[in-house]
Amino acid sequence: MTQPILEVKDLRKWFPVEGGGLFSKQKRFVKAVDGVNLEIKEGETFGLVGESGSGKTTVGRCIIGLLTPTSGQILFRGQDITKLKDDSATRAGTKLGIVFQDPYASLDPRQIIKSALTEPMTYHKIAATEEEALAKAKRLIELVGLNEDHLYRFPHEFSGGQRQRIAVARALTTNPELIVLDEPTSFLDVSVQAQILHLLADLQKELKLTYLFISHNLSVIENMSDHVGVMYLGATMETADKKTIYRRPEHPYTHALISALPIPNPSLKKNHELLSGDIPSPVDIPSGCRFRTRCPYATDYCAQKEPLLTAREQSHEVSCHYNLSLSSPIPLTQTA
Amino acid sequence: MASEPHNTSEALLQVTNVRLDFHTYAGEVKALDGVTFTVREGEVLGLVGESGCGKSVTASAIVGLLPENAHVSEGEILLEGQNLRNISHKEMRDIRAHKVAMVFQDPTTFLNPVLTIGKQLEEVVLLTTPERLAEIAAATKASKDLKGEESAKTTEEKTQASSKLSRFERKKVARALSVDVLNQVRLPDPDRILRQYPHELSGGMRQRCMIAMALARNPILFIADEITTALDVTVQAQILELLRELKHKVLGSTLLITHDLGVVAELCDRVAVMYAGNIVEIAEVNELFANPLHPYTQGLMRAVPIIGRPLAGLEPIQGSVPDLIHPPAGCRFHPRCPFAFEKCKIEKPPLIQRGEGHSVACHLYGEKKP
Amino acid sequence: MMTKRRSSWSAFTAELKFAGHLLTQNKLVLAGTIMAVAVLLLAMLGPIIVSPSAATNIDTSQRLIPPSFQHWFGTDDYGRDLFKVIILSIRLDVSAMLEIVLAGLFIGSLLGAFSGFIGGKLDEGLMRITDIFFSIPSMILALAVAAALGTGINNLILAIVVVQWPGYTRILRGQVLAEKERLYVDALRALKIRRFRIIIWHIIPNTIYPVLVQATLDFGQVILTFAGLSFLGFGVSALVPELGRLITAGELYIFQAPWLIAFPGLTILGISLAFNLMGDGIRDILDPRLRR
Repeated sequence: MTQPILEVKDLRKWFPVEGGGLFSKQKRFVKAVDGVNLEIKEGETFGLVGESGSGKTTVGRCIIGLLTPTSGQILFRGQDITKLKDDSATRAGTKLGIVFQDPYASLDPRQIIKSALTEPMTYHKIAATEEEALAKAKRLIELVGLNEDHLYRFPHEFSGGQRQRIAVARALTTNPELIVLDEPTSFLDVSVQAQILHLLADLQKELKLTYLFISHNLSVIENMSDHVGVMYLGATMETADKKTIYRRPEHPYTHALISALPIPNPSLKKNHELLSGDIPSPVDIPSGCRFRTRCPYATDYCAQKEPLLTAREQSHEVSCHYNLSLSSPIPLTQTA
Repeated sequence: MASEPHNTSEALLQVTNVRLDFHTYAGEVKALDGVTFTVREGEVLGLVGESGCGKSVTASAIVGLLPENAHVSEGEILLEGQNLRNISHKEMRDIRAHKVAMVFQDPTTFLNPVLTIGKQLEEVVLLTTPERLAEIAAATKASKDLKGEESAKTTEEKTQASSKLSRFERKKVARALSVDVLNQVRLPDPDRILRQYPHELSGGMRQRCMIAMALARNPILFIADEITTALDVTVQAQILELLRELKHKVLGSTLLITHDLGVVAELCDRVAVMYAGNIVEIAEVNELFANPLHPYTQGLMRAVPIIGRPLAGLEPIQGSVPDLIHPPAGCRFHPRCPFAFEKCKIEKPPLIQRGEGHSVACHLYGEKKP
Repeated sequence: MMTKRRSSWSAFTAELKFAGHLLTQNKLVLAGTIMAVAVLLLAMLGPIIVSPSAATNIDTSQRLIPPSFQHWFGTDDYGRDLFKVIILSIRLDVSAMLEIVLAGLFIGSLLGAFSGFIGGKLDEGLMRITDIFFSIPSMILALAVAAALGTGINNLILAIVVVQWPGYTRILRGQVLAEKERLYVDALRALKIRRFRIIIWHIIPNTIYPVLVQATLDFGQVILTFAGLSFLGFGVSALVPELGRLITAGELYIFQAPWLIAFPGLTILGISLAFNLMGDGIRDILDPRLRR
């Protein structure tokens, strides 16, 4: 079996909280990421899905190097990038790219697009001269569906969708092999969202890219991913390939998540499985299995011991003590 | 003349041909371009469209909460037959207090962070008419002095009677009503919640509080503006379930504003689709999804990712939302429409009826086809 | 169409032009700006309009003549035409003013930007140092430094720069603290661009506006300080045409020849006022647009 291009092993990122009184010695942490395991194969799209507080964005930021993990490993082509320093860190870092959620804030408002694209290339000496960088910038801007005159404009002259395209072009300037897409379409209108998703899919084929697609939107994840990981309160609950996750999820959270989605088809009667309560705070994670406070099947044992992410079948891993045989959350009359 | 088929006797809210402009330094933003629709009694009408289409502006216009630079140049907004456009500020306030309740997307900015939930609910509840307060007082065993209420029959007597309610008694009634509405929105342990501050509650709970505040006024029209957009999927499912329950029991007519077609399919009876300040299609919900007529509606449905439909089936709508300072001539959708022809660039299509309860504003369905 | 090579700094010059256009719309600001421009022109053209020898031409026969048709502002103790000497001195005072503010701006901004962005002990230390500077009234501090450095115009300029820089450091640091949290900074870090480049090429252009506004407001105050200290004896020597020095000389004849104090004083006032008005206007115009 070929080595996955990216492996995340038991990743944790805890943020200390200034808590208690002046004399409190107890340190509290926001355990944003608290034990994440996943593997991404080269050329595929891994969809990381979760609600607020799940830690999915933090995972993305750790992978791209914006945050230093508290513990755990991130292996890019077998090399632990969290342990690298300076030049080797930079070299490894340029192989990873990121597109952020907010297209209105991710570009320097005072920099014209041409500079935004040529800067990384000249800085990292990927292009030897300004002319070479400019030529490459022209190619990239056309690759994302815009044209050459757009290079000489400022970010505020563009719409959200166009800015996201520019963000993609910028991510491509360092010739990355894997791109982290952190909710790239959440801030965009529905019609524009479809354009960007198609662009991403086309670029993936053309440039042989690997994607980590982070989103809270289950439909988008289903459309874009080959493999899916579900996160809850900082940990991975389940990972499987797309078809399995959506049709035969084994973790009760995954099941609830999928069945909660409103379907744009009024003739289908759905039985929404509703979770009780709200998502706990990442400062106070429930003991044992963190999902137990909302799980309809929780037992006393669930409060005592945290389940490990274990493989149930080939590349289908679940973090649950029990083997629940849950029915498909998707109504059978749904379009195939 | 734009028209929408309706049975006048059933119409609770009638919005007819409303035009609204914003005066900005950059120019006149022609935000609403002849908006027409009706909300019937007891129904949930979905107003669906992307951001910038004018759906929130429409809601603001109905409740009279428009900013200074907004100007309604034409049209009528009739609530129970009363024209909301030419009433005084005081009358509008009364309507907002007793007849129309609006709930917004972001409960954090809607709730006052320095007051407890109880205090805020109390404020709302005390807005209730004296008659209703008296009724409740009579219903509950608030005080022995209130026995007089039961025999009071005329409004005058009732008003007199309730004004006899001391401040303390009114507060007790208000509290009872507060607990009551919190129960209706399925919030556990209402007594505790009344003592808490907004930041101590989760997003879903805050949203329920907002809905409770709306219910407390016993409105005849409930306007919900993107109330589930900011919520997590599992919490959204809970709120949708709550709204489904309330729909049949307590909520009167509802105008549900959203961009999410899934929410529309789950909650609405009828749907109005909006684009760039125009209503482009109105139909019953099943009919709309089964048989969308307007190219924009069709485009919208194809552009939304759906589980089970592959990425190849996802079709974006080309182009982008128009600049409303210089909107396209004729049909505002024509630059993006795959079926546009000459007439679309010149003449704005009126909203006409095509089939039972189904109206569409598109030249493809006019008398003359190309 | 010729497309010029642009960087994020030139975005900023384009906006200055737009601001300039808005500047002409407020009457008081317009008056101030015109005066300020006149002052700058006089500063540049001074030695051309008026021969520099007017400052060194000592003619004791013409001493202390009141303002008249031949000598618009009268003559001073050395027999020099006061009007001509004042014109010449504008050049010195104004260039000192500009040098002080620009130097303070440059030093203060760099310190503030790096301190704010990098944070940690460097930041803490620098803030305590600026605290010390703030705790001493600026005039007194400048006085002390000038006294320590000795006479001479360059020492005086240096002394006032020492007083000016902490203000800019504080302003820019505040701006940078906010700016570094913005998403585009994360994007640049994700592209593995080092902090130094981010600070100089991205952070500073985006945060420099409030500092520039403060700088234009400071012109007025700086020239007062400079002239004031000059009056006290620091800075230039007797015959060199400088406004503060003129007042020192004029002090002796305060009752006999009041014009010797009045005209230089009014000139200082005029220059300070002009730049204050212009600075106010710039602040008002740029402020709402600063919240971009």
